Amino acid sequence: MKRMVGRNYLFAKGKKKGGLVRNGLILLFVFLMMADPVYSINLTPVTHLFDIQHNFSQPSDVAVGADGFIYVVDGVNQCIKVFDSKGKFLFSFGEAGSGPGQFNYPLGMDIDGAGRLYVADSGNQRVQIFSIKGRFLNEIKVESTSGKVPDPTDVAVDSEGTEVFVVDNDNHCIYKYDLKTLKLLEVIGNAGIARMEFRYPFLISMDRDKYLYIVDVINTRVQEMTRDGKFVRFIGDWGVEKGQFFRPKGVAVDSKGRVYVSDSYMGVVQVFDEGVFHSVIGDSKKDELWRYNSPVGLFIDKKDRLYVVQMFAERVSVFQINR
Amino acid sequence: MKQLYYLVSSVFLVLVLLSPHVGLAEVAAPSNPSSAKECALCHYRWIDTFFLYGRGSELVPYQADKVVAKAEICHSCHDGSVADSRARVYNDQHHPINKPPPAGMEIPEIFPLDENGFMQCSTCHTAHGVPSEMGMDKTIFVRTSNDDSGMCRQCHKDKDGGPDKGNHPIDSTKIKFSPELRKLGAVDGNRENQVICESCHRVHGAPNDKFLIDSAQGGGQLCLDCHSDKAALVDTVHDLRISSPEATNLKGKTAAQSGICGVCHLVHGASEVMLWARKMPEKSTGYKAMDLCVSCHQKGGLAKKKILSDYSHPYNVSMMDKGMDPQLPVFSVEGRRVALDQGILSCPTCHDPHKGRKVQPGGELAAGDKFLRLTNKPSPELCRQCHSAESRVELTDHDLLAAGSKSMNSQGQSPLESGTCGVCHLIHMADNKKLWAIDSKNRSRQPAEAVCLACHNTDGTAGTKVLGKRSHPVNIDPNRRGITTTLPLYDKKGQKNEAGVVTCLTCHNPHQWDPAKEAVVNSAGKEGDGHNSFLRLKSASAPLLCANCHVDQSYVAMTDHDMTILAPDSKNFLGQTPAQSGACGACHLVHNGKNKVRLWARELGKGNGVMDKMCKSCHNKKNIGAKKVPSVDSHPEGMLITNVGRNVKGESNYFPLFQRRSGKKVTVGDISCASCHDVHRWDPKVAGPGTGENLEGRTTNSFLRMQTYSLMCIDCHGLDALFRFKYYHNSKQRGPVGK
Repeated sequence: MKRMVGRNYLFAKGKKKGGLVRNGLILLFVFLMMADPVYSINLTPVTHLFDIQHNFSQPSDVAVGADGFIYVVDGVNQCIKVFDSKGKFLFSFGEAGSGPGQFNYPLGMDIDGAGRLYVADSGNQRVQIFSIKGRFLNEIKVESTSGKVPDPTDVAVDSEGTEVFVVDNDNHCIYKYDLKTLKLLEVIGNAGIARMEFRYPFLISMDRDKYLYIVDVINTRVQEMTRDGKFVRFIGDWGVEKGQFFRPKGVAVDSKGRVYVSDSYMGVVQVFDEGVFHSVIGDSKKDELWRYNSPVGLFIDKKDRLYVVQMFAERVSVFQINR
Repeated sequence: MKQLYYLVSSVFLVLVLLSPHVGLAEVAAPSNPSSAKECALCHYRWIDTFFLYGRGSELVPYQADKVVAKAEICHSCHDGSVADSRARVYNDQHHPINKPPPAGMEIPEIFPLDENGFMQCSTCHTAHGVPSEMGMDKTIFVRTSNDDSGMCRQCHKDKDGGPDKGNHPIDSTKIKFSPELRKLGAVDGNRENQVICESCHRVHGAPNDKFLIDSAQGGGQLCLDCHSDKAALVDTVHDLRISSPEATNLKGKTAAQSGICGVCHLVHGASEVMLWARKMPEKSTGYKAMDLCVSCHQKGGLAKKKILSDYSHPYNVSMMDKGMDPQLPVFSVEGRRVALDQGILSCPTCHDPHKGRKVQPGGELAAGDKFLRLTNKPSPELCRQCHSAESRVELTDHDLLAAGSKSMNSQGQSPLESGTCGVCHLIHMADNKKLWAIDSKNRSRQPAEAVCLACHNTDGTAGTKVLGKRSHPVNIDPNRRGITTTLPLYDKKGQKNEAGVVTCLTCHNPHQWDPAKEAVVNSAGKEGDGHNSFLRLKSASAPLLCANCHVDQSYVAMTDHDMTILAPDSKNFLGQTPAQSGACGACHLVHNGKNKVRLWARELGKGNGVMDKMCKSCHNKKNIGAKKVPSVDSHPEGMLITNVGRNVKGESNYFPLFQRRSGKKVTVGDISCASCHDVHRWDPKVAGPGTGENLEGRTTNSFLRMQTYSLMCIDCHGLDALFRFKYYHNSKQRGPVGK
């Protein structure tokens, strides 16, 4: 549901007048444009369902399984916490360390169609794979080709669990692995500001059509690419206006293919459609945009529930996206 | 007008299209990074919307204030998206921000506060280059060098300066950082193990109160990470969490709050020695190290049941002055641990308040917990440090702990409880100044003797080693007998005194079984002889002990009267050979003899008086001296011979007369063997032992006294005296006896 408020409404009410009146109105309008914003913005209304707070310490990412289980990366606590679809705590797994099932400040996470969890164990330079119950299954040792220590911050896996894409934050690139052999297939991108260049790529998401969305933090944009590493488009730009980012962090795609991007400093989640700003997440009751405290990881499940990890607030907020 | 319309419309269209509010098209890839953007990435205020247009946007409000280097800005990159400082920096444990510095703290100008005078990240950090010689591993973007925590010290001056300023030592390298502490992130100064602020504190990410890298609360783990030798305090009665959980230190903190270390020591802000955290006693002992203990061990104190009373081991004395060299700490009057030559003995010399016994399950305190620096059981290791000679009592018959005795000392402690030394000596709460742990109040005895007899009596622990009626005299003043000795004499108070009298302790050293062995000797249960038996000097084979007083008599050694040479297989009453008993012991028994006179150790022979009988013990035809039995050996009796003027021992004319039965010296009596013979001296002209050769004597030696013939015999026999003297034992030449 989209609403038109503020400036657009005024503009719609305008009628052609002759001479000075018309020109005066136009000049007044231009002045208003230049002088001060008139708040009018499309909202994607959501209904707040519940918050999850469970002694998190700067949680960073969230993923939801087919059964509705909610997995939260509680990285500073070196574990993954698991909740049911209503936010009730079920169990956690992981502890500090470098052995199987141990973590060193993990950041990002994804889940495949079979319910297997893929956790970017950043400090251990690897991706760990777990069963739906948190049992360690396997790991991908991430090795950079640049010589610089890799920093895997997030992972995206296709629903079939055949390919996995790992973001190397410090090496400004994406690794593509074959999940059957766990072998590196391709290194995508490098440092820079042009297409398929990154400056500190962070979180990544894959839509149902296997397009990848990579949050390019310092380039303040999201890059969309194919699974073969071909550039599709930039989403967003530098700034604080709508459709712009100051600190983009998380990205998720809903059932309609709309891309949701969180901005941790501005505290908003913006929605893009076909790469173009569409709206901002808003409160359907108060008719105003929804402000978050350092939103980072996002996830949208099959029921179009939006999960927003608020790192500073140390909670995960769950919303129903209203259509 | 129309032109104006088109112009305005065109301007409007361009503006609308360029308006940042309108997101109509996909974003093109930039060809160059924008310098404005690079700055505004942190300088949020400089974003065009705010800075150029002076307004907010539909997403965020107008930003009027500078927010660069505020926590939220820093975190927006340090959340893992560029760098991961989540654990280290962004948690509840970090240096305060968004608040002013403490009142009175001077903040150098290089550390800018914000417009409100509050500290921010930028107070210490700047993203722009600053001179700093330290590597990235130690400091990141700080405003000045933090070498050796130099930056911390610029503001926290009150925490600097070490113990002299009431703070934990800083810059010290005395203690090696433990691996545990290093694992927690402890930082050395420029020198290895150099204590700096960051050795204990971490400004960002420390998980504990006061930004400590390990918890100092509760069990005081942080302190114990380095001071592991203090860890034995845990769960003892000195662990105030257990014994006095409600007690607070000078800062009002309980042991649980301050930690087991902090409840007694302040790491910062102390005003007393040892960084003492508790109220000092109102009345000082005059010695700070003691005052620390007394602050609890006093009436009304936390340890009111354990206070000093009555008599205790001496303290506040220089052990060096006493010739001791213990591996124990000594303290200055001010309470500082100092070198041996500068310090005195104090409570913590013997006691380590950090080293006790664990409280028993159920909260019962450990019995006999004395917090000693060294154990005294089974070996007296602590006492040995100063009293090394006395500690040789270990494993002797005087070590009742080793002997398994169940006797109790005066405080009702068994040897197992008191330890070896504690059987006889008390350290604290003694009822006598000498600290005897056994009955020393037998008024009929010298104190130095009474303590021996407390055990050596028929009902005592040493009931099988009691003195017989016939023993060497005690309580006699050797000086009055013209005897000088290097052996200790004791006065009526039991103190060593050169003008004192002979006691048991004059000859015996109850702490050392064998005087020649300056080490612990396992002698328990052994029967002693003249070589050992707790004697101060050996009396066998050379009669060193006896000779110390009885110099003249000691000349018997190596003569024909030295049984060790003459009759090595002979035995005295105790069945000892001369080699066991020594030359003196072959003829005299110091204890448990049968004969009172001269404590004679052998069977008496037949004779007129006791003095002659003693000689004839050997000088008879069935004994050792069978070859030296004179045909005539007696002088007519009843002649009322007087030796006045010749009865002064040591004079050259000495000619003693003896009472017939008692052997006591008299001035009128009969001549006996010992009147002419000094049985201990072969040659009257030689003041020393014999040569060990079996010599045939003449009238000038043969154990004869000096010039006897001329000074005594002549009185009665006139010019015939020499002849009679020479042929005294020859019946044919001497003539009929009695003439």
